[in-house]
Amino acid sequence: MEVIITIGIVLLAVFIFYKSAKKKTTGDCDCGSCTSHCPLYEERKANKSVKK
Amino acid sequence: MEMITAALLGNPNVGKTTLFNYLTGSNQYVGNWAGVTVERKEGFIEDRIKIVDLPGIYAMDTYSNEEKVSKEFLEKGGVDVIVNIVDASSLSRNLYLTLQLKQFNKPIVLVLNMIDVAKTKGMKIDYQKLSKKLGVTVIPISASKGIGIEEVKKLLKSGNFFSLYNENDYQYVEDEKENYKYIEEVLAESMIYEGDKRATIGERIDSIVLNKFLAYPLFVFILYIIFKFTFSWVGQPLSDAMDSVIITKIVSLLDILLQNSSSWFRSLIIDGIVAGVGSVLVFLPIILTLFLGISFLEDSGYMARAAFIMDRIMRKMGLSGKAFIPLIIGFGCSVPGIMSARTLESDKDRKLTALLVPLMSCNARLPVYALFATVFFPGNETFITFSLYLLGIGMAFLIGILFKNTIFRKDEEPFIIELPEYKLPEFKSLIRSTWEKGKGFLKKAGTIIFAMSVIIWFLSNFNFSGMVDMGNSFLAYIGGAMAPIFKPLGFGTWQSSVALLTGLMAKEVVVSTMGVVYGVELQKILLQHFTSIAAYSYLVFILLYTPCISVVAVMRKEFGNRMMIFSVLYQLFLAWVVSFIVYNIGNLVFG
Repeated sequence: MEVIITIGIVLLAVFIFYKSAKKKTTGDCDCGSCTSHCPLYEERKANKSVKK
Repeated sequence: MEMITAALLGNPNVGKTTLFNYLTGSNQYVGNWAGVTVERKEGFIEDRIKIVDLPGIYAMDTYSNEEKVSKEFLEKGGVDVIVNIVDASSLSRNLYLTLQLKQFNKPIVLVLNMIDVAKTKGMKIDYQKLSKKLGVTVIPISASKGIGIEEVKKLLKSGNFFSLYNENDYQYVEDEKENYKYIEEVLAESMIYEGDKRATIGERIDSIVLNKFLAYPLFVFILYIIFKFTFSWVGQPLSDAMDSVIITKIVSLLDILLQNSSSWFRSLIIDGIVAGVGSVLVFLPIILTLFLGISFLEDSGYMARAAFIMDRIMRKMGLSGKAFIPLIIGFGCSVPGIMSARTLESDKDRKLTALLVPLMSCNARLPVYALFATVFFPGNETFITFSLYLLGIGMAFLIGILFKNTIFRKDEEPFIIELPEYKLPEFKSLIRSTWEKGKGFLKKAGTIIFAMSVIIWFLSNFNFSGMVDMGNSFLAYIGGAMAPIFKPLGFGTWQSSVALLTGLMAKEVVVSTMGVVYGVELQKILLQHFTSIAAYSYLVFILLYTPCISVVAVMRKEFGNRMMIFSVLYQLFLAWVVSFIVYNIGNLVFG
């Protein structure tokens, strides 16, 4: 049981790490300080509306 | 019938997009504060009048990207008429652009927006006189209320805007003062001010806040109060309570629940996940309190004043006050800070600003400061953290001067910023923006900090031969190889070295790494591995070296490989040198 839980934790950690590293290497941020003054926030919003 | 092209131009925040939406029936949303959108938008009235919405600009002589777009369009875009929208309650500033637009020898329709605001302020404008004096067609409107829009539409449809074109003698001259003198003369004849001439509360506050001698001490004092609020009055006590009540209880509970489990599994859960995530999570109250203070400054209207008073200092660094906005954003996160350097006029300005932004202490470094300040400088947490923020600003200032006189020699450019009215921030909006930021921190704790804690636990408990003592683990080998580099700085242990490496994922990971490698009794164990001076030297290194891989990536994205490599190397070098100086001088003075 402990081994199964550990494998689950490790897989989840590796997945999150992979996703986060991928996001970060493209110059995206995860600071969470999103305000309308942030150009990245504006860019994301613009991209979203273009996709729509 | 031939298509008429009308260029819509004006200062930022005068209601240009609102008018565009009314005229064309579209639903555009464009902000202009430190944004990155330098483009034009097109709409049509009855398929025969094309309205081109150009970026908001204050003047046409600073060569910003926004101005380049506007200038090029006015010269080559086949413009038939310029619709210049101005803020009627602030004509003396807005008409400067109008005078410059006259150089293009195109008919101008001057749309006076916010006439209702001007009226409230006691301004009585004689539109006909203004029209005659300036040689343009004047239409008063209130875009937000939809008043007068039909007149603009009607005029554009009729094509009758050529009648007053170029009827005055005055043309724009290069001397800025001459132009403003002319504007004052025009307004003296066409506008009567019937309002209360006594200074408003805002003006009275500005006379103190923007005072030549008081502005800087006040700025430092206000920042200090925010730090005091964060580290002494509210944030730190809440953080201590969270640590002793919640985290300690969770550890005790897990200890009981896992008492029958194997020791490695208990270690993974308690020394790995709980110590790693918990050591960062206890700083949530500090983060929230600091955000609350900063949101208060932003919403009250003080932040714009801070940018304004910084203009003088920024010029000494070879930058305009406009570069202060990316630097301020850098206090939140360096990535958007570097991106907002896009709005600056010259390429040199943008590059220099991008190199300085990472020296501003981003909020991810705060948990590291809070941890070390609490352990090594009890009672002086505010002062220690405040000193690091000031050191970052000071280093940016020195590096700015150095780069200005070496690789980024350039001319000075003017800076114009709108100072919003002072207001008491709304409680609801403060809480909302603070929570938004806090939510980001919690998300980070539940994702990357959790993932890194698990990975670090494995790397610090295993090597190729299986589970081993921490001293023989993968992490100890990696940290051990790096440690000699940091020995002259006072922190040559493998644990502190490897935390600097993992901190490249996110600065909070420095704390979670230490939580994992030193265990849940982190605060007590840290005292055995650092002296107070070494701890401060470590914090200086954290402040000045590469913030995280996102910053490296955005540097590459915005400026290419060479700038990216240069920024990483110069920051590592700077961090090493300054930490070395701090450690050795600290030892000489206090040792």
